[in-house]
Amino acid sequence: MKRRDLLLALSLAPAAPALRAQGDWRRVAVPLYTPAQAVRGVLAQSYLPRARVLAESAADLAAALAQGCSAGAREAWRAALRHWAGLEAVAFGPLLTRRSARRVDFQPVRPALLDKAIERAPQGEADMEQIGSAAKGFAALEAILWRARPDAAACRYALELARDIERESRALVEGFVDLQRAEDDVVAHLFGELLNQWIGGLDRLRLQGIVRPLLEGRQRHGRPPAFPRAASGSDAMERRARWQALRELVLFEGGVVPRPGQDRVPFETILRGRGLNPLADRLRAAALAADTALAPAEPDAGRLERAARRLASLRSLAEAELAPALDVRVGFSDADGD
Amino acid sequence: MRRRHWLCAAGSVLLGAPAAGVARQATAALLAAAWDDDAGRHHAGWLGVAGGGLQVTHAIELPTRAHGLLPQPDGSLLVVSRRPGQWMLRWQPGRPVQWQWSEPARRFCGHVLAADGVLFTTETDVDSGAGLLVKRDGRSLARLAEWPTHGSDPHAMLVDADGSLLVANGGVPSQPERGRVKLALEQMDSSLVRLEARSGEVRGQWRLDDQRLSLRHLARHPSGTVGVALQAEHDDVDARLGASLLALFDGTDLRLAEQPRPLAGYGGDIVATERGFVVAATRAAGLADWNVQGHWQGFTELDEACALARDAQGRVWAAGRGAIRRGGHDHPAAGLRFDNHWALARR
Repeated sequence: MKRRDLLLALSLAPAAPALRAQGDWRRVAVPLYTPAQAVRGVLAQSYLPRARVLAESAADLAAALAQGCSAGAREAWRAALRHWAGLEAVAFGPLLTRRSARRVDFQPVRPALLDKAIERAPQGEADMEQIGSAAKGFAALEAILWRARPDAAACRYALELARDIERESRALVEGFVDLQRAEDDVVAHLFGELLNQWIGGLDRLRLQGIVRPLLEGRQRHGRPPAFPRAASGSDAMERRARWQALRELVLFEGGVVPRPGQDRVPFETILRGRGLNPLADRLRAAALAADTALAPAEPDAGRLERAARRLASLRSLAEAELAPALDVRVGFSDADGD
Repeated sequence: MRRRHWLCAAGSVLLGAPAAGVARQATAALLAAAWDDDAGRHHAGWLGVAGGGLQVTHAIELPTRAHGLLPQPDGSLLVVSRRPGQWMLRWQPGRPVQWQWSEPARRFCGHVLAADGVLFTTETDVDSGAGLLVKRDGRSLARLAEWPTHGSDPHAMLVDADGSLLVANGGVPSQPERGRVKLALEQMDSSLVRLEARSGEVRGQWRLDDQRLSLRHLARHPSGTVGVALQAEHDDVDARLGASLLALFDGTDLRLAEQPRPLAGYGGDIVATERGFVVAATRAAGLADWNVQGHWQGFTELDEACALARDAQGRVWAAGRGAIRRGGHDHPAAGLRFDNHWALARR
């Protein structure tokens, strides 16, 4: 594990100083967490550390590409993608307001537009603003880096793409810092968005990462599923990164009660703080079932289909019971009409 | 329908794969419908009426909730995902499912229409939020052209007598990455737009004075008058609950029908009848009835009323909770939570 990943892992881990063990919640009281405390916890322990690590790995990617389209650049791309997926799995706060996914992770890349962009040879932020989403971001970089022999012009453009991702990452860090400084009422108001986007994140992992590629593959008469990161073989890695980020917002994994307003408080723990232990238990069971299904490093189609079903079950429970229990109206709802 | 039949149907399908036939009895009318099962899974399929109840004859499990359905003359069924949707499909029991996924910067808005051998879908441009009318190949479902609907949140469409297309721009601002969250309702801009079917050229656009009324579903009366089912988005609860559910368009003017009672502000579906229009007042738990001049004809109770259709005998079929109503008679449909729309088979 790289030092940066180790630091990220430590920062994402539940805080060490503890008063009591939450694992023993049947005997130990869990505090009633306010929406503002819940949001502050994920800002401090999920979003900010993840955004900072993404910014650093994007800088590493740019540094690697400054030396050309080397194998090192491919590794740096994989690391940056992993950190991006972990941050963006639950698109919240500045990720939403900046529409960051549109800026740096539009899929699929359009080869003709990419070739035109390479030909234009943009330099710097202003030039890159003129390039359309379908020729930018991680997918465009993947398309260049996994070419058999990317030429010098393509590699120069790849460097601009990496710098573009780095700029967006730094803007996200600033956005999350600003959010942390916001008043309690502003932060509290975002709790509904957090839960909504978590549900949306479950859906995206299920649909974009599993169901759609499998169905498209089935329609292509036996050819392999059309996974979006097939060129680099990074789909499994991305799914894991996304699930890990989704998982940490729902499952309590430490041994201690999260400190209100400082530590990340998973939805399971928020429920326990409200005395809703039976629902917390079912939510935990559903999340662990999804976790088990998503665990294999390189799952086959059958396992992926099972994982999709378990993600769907978790989503249904979250929409039907978790959100009402936390007084959140669900924008990704399956329940309302149209 | 017996509950075990339904459970059998629900349990026998793989995601995206057609289920084997479930009901064995010969059935009368066939309805294309979409529904959720008790586990929250989404399905579309064919329903038949036999022995006083509904039976699932064939079903397909779907990745997300469906919305609009369109039976085709060849016996296949077109199904479109609910907005912001990523898929539409053509399905016929016993044949491979034909999936059509949304373009990367587009999302389906829930409805498909057939006209002149081609298909039209309403869609949203993810970047700008602009509404689009997308012309698709009737066989391959591939995109042939797209035209602006001159509004946002486009929803249902209808072929008018002169061959032009009427499109309801719901006008509710949203962003696909935020799901179905309604944003900046004070900026709502709902309209009815008439587009030339061959070129997409705009031939007229109409708005109601009350911009918090979202024009969403359309039905055409044989007289030519078009009924528009409305959904209210007022911040004020009383205004929302008392809002009109029906607007009438005579080709020149768009106006509200009379409404002597509150109907909870949500019209889920609309069907043209011999004398006028019936709107499913879902949140008021019933069916609201108007004549073609927009005069109130009455209200009949039906819990969770929504999907509507009219058969060749002029009977209205309405979906409710655990039951369907056909021409005034209720039939059990336990275990089925119907979606907004259904359609009778074309025969």
